[in-house]
Amino acid sequence: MTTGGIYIHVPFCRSKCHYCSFYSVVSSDKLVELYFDNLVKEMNIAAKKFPLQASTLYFGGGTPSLLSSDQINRIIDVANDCFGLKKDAEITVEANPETVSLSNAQHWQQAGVNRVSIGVQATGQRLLNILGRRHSAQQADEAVNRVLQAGIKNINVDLMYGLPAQQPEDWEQTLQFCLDWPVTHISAYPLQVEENTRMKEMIDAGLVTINDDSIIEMMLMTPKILEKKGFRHYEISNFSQEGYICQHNLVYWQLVPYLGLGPAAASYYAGIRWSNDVDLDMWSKNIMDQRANIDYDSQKNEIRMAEFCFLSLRLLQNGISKAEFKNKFGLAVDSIYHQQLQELSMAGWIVDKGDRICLTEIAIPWANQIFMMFLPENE
Amino acid sequence: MNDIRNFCIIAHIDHGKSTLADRILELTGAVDSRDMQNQLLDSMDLERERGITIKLQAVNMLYKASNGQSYRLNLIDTPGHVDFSYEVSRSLAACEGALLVIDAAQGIEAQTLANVYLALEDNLTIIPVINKIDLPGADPERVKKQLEEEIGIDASEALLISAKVGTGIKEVLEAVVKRIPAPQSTGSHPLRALIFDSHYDSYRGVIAYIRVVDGEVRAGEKIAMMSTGDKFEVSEVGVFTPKMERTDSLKAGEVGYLITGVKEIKNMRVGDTITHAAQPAEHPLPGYRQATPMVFCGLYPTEGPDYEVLKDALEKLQLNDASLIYEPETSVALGFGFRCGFLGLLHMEIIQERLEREYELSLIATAPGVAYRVNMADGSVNLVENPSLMPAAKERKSIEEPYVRATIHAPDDYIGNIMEITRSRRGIFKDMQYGSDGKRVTLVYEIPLAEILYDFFDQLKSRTRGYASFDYEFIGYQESDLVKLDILVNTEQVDALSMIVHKDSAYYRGRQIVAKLRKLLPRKQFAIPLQAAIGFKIIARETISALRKDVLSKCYGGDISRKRKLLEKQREGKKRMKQLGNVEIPQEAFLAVLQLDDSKRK
Repeated sequence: MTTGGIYIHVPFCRSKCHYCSFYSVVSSDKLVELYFDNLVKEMNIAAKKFPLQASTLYFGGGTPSLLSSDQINRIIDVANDCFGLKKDAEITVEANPETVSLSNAQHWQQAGVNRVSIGVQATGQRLLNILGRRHSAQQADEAVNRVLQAGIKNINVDLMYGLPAQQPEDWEQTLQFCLDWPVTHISAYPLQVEENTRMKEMIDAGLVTINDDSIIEMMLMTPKILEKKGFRHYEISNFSQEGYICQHNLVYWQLVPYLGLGPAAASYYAGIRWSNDVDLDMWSKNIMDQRANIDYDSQKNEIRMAEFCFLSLRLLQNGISKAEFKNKFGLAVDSIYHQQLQELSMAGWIVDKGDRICLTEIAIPWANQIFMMFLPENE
Repeated sequence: MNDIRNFCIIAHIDHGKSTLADRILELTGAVDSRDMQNQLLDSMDLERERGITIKLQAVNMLYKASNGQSYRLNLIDTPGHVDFSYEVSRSLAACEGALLVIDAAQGIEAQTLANVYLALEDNLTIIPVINKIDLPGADPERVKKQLEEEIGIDASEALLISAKVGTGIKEVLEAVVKRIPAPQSTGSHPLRALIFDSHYDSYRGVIAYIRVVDGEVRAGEKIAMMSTGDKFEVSEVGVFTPKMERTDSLKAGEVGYLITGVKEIKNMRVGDTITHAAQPAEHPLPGYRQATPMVFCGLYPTEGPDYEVLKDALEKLQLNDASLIYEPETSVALGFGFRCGFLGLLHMEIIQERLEREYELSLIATAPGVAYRVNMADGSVNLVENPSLMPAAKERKSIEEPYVRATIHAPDDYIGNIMEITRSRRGIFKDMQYGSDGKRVTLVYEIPLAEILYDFFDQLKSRTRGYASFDYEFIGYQESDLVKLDILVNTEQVDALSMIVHKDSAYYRGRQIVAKLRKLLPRKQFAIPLQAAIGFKIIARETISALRKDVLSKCYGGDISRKRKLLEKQREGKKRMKQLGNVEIPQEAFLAVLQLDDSKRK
């Protein structure tokens, strides 16, 4: 049977963060109950239609830590029944600091959760306020310690930079703050200002401003700081200690199948990409109808090749494996993207390492530019 | 025939040539003093404003000498600047004598010497005229001594005048009549007339300025051009008084104009010999020194549609200035334009200014460059003046560049500064001599022409408090360790920014340019890499960051489709930009890069 990943999307939040444009609903017991029932239903249906042995299980959101520990326990059980969780499967729960109590953490550990991803985002109170987060740096510190105390050693912290009024020195302080924890993994993303968010409104109203140049400075200083503490920059925005690369993340970048369950969750299976309805009600209804939004373009060969390239390039050391490309598509990557590769290497943005092609360090701020070059021209 | 005198005036800039010409015109009554406008021969606004002569002019005057006889004098004006020595040689070919005008205070300048030698080569009679004797600093005796020592002509008969106040003008004319020989009487020979200049009149076509050497030419006659064999009918001949005045004929020894109705200057090339179609002369007249363009640059209209106007303007300017050469050139960044060749920097500046002023064009000029002699690996030799056309390194064996002998005059206090400037520009010291006053010093260097193209003169002036004067003459090609430096914007080579530089300064130059461009180019929806490269080797790099949106977004829940669609959208934006002319480089950016001063290059 194919192995792959299972992603469970939990669409509940206590409140909306200022930068978030994703669908979320304020949780109520009734809604969570309904969600839970439908999720179990969806897992059963999916298991029949898309058989898969799960090597990873990931609770993302939203705020998965708003589910009760009992609910999380039961979802893991159902997942195990449906997708035969591998013995060493990576099971991650995303959590906001203010939702992590010691008892929660202990229950997760007992249920089989072996990795917790904590949404720390920032450590300065001013920046946390701008982001609309409901926690303080101290709460983040407590959350990390509780998870550790519960016996979960594999911890990720999510961080954001390029925030309004954030200076490179602020960012360095945040990194240093987190480096005091014995965490195994750090994700650092630049803030993306999305339409229809409070953040966008604040920027448009001139209440806050972002300095584009300092984003790049922060982007480039991050690996320098983290590498000193033994982290490896294995993916554009991800850093890990030896042996703690996020397995679920790899599923995405390495074209391994995965099933996304819950509203808005995305799936990739048998070479086809689709996503669930975003809205909780629509999703509930359509579980029975099985009307997923299929991305037909993703089946086109030229799109698949492009995806392979830009997803591979995200993994900095792996890059595009020439052999794997040839194996998958029957042609040499150099022949298909000859011009692009030449241009990129002229620009100093990629380097040909013989068997593989990797992004260079200086290319990272411009990765989107590079990725888009692999996409076919739309006439 | 004995009553004709053809002469010109040789002088350094500011030594008073045009003022003397004005006085001569006044005295002979060629121009009513009421119509008198300063510097009459300098008819271009630009000439008058800058106080220099660019185009040579000819004028015919009647003069009643003190011996009672009337003479017809043809004065042919000459430009003083070294860039225009080509035009000087044209004037000289039409004359039997020259007035050598020297500033009584400043003495003989290097440029004066160059033109005197040209005149001596042509066996012209030279009459030394020491001007500005009314000035407090005037020292005619010192100038006389210089004349004898440096040129070796008898200074005892030098005339002392002040053109400004009008003293000694009559003596000048008397000397012209007495000392300059009349043209040889060869009126019965087959016609030979030298075209020494021409201008284009939109109603009458090409007006050729001619000096009839042998025979006689009349309206209605059929003439032939000796170089091409093209035949035309003469519609009008006449003289300049200085207005054009129709005459029946032009005879041997006379200077005047000739109109045939020809519309294209190339059919009436300056330097060609005119003869009769029916009884042609056997040999054409010897031409004069051919103009060799030494300095090149690309000229592009700011507005694309002005290309036609520019083309037209260049054609017209070329009618009057055969030393201007141009050919169409296309640049990705600048669009359509022309690669132009000039006699020197001043010539380049003048042409640009005339184009902008007389044709109301707004122009972008690329960095001035020189023509390189490239010895190819296969043994052939290429002359490359456009850096973007430099053959690849593996195809060439060596590059030679033009060298000049630069002569710098300055008070001796500034020797140190001058040496510093010339050393930083690869100048090779050749000679140093103190002038007769023991204060002024003359330094001679051999220096690559390319090195004096960028603000050399400005530097020299500013570091000698304006005291230095500078002249140069081309001495030939020498091999140098040169490389082609390319600038890539968004990985595309921008031809207009390519340059040939000495290997030692390539890194510095490359870094300087990309750093400057980074600050000047506008941001786009996408990031723009800027690079300086020698061949495939990138020697300097910068990146212009994109407008915000470039940053990577988090891939929520593995929604690759969404991510891909965002990339597609972004790509579309980039494509649209590309269709709109890719990364347009604002002209200010170009200018700033091209004007990249070397002030930091101490």
